[in-house]
Amino acid sequence: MTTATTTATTVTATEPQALTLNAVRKTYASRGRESFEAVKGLDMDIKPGELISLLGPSGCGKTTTLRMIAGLETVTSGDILIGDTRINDLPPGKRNVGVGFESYALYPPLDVRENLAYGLKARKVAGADQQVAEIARRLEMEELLPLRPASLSSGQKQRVALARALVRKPPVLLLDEPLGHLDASARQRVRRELKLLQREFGYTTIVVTHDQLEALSLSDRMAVMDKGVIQQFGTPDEIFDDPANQFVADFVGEPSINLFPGVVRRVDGQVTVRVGDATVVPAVVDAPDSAKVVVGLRPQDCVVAGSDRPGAPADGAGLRGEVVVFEDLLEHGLATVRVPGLEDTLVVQTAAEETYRPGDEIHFSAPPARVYLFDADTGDRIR
Amino acid sequence: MGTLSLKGIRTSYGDVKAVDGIDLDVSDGEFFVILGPSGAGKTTTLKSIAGLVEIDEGTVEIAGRDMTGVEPYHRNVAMAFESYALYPQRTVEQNLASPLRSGRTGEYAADERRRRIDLVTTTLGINHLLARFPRELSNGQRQRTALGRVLVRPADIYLLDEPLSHLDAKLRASMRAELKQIAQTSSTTTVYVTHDYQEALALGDRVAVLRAGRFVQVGTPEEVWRSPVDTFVARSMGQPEMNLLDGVVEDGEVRFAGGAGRFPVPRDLDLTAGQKVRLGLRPSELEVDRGHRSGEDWLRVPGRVVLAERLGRQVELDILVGDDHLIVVEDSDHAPAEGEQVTVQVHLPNVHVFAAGGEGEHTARIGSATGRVAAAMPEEAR
Repeated sequence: MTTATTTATTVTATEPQALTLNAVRKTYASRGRESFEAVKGLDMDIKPGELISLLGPSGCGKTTTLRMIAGLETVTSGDILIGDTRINDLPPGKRNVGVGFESYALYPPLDVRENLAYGLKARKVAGADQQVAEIARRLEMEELLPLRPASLSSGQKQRVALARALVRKPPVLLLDEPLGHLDASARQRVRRELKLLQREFGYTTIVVTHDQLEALSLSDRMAVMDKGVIQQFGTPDEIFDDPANQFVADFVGEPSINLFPGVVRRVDGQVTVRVGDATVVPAVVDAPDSAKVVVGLRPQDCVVAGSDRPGAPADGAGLRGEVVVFEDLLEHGLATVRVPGLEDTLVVQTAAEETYRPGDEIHFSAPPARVYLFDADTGDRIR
Repeated sequence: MGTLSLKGIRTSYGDVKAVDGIDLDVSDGEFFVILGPSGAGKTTTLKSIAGLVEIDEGTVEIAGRDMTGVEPYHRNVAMAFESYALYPQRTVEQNLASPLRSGRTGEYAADERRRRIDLVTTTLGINHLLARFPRELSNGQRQRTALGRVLVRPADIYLLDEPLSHLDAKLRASMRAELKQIAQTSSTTTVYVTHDYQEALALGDRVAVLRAGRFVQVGTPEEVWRSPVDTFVARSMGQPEMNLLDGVVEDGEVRFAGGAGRFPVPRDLDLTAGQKVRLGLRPSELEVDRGHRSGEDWLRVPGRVVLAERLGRQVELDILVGDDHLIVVEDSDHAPAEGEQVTVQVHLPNVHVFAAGGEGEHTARIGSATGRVAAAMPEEAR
């Protein structure tokens, strides 16, 4: 438990602040209905200046968490601290957090420039106009400045909401799906700019997203959530390369990881996995013989026989199957492969210079460190 | 024979020209993709083929017969719309049976209907869902059912309007593979409209890139990828988009990034001293030099990594070269860290040279750093 909690009535810091969540819960209980636990005891230590994503499917509790930090939802139990100030009971306006919610209303009679400058001018910040101009330039929205909110598209509103949150330079910045409505190419540029601005000004930032690529590319660390619980909290590298369980492995990564059943064979301490009539070799040491597992193999990690990349199958090992569909995406190919004994087809990413036709045989495996095993019952990672 | 021939199609809504002179010949059994951003006129083109909008000019020929002015009902085309229209109060099977009951493509006996429905639902992997109602289906299953409603009916041409656009990214990728599988088994001519370049590459026998109601380029996916006629086509294929850098011809070299990057002027490109150009470099074709490439035909530029963003197995690097930013996609196993000084390299044939132009302007491709590439004619000049 925290010791140095103060009970200030407002957060006044202007420097980026640490943000701490201790056993935070949110239960919705309405009369006559079963109560629903949206967030089930969240612990997070976020360092000053860190950019954190909350990633998960809809209903996982990510937005509820963000709204509790913003003060838009009450906290059922647990503590939320900015620096060492407990903010649970502070009204939203006293928390000194910047909020970039899409639904966050703009003042309709003011144009975008005035909307952006409003908060700065209210606090008599010097050079407000220049700051607004600069942020508008960085987010590629200068042409929006003279427009009224009513004439903006959803993607434009989103950019304005983001700009308004950023221009205040708050010590803690909360963003809810900040890039969702932008088209693919604008999303990439704005994402990059957001990250650069975040680095520059050092806002402690929490981004809620359901887009795994966005979370991977933006975050210093990311929390993958499901059913109100953090499934894994780590750097993008850890999340992608070392998933804690089957949910994380499946949710993160595109095309999706191949997941299929296998049975552990343990001979002289060496662990291999039987998949139908074939064998794959994981870098796992701690699996009992005959254990039923789910094997996870990312399409991007598959290496076909004869390739000079590490992980090509040795004789007698690896999976063999028949190509059902081959998609040539020029930068690489994607083969959909039917492997005897497996119910679902697998997807294998192939090198740009290789082409396959339906009916071709393909023989592949992956580097042992990239053959993931999960407990068939719990979904937990076996290492 | 499901051939399609469009000649000089123009379609407008009031003063807005949605389709502004399209000529097209699709051969029997071809899978033809129209790629373009929203507002380019993709859906209007399809509707012009189907007869759902009145065209101002031009002719539509389907299976060798002039269909201009013929009612949609009699054109023998089947169209799937972006928003899947299913009868909510009918089961999957009943939804699929209804196009066969309408009588417009002949009468079907009950067992023939069942046979067709069985074939289509097996291919689409929804044959276990026949008794379900649309509300009991996932998004993907609903999309497949909607597609099934099109495919169940024999038609000369299938017209598909962004059938995967409502799906999330992962489902979209797996449905794309399924569509490709269906296309392999069906030999029905298909015109497929999308804004997703990966769908265009994966599915199309040929791809047309549409801008403001006109085809900018038509070709095989490989032709359009390797020899884009202009910067618009180049940037519409690939994510992240192709890098565009300003360059200038000086002392027999093309120089860019404040002189940090340079290569000899290709002999058969008519570039003159002082001429400004734009260079196009695909992020996936750029790489960080680790001393693993030999040979003369590599262009190398020193730079500093400003940002390294993880994108699954790959890392997207923002590298500052001179005053320009280059986006480079590298395998995560080899990616440098932020702040590192690196050398970026690219195979010279992959350096595209375009005419000079301002931001947002589309300029024509002149060739590559190794010279002119034949047969990349702009569609408008043909």
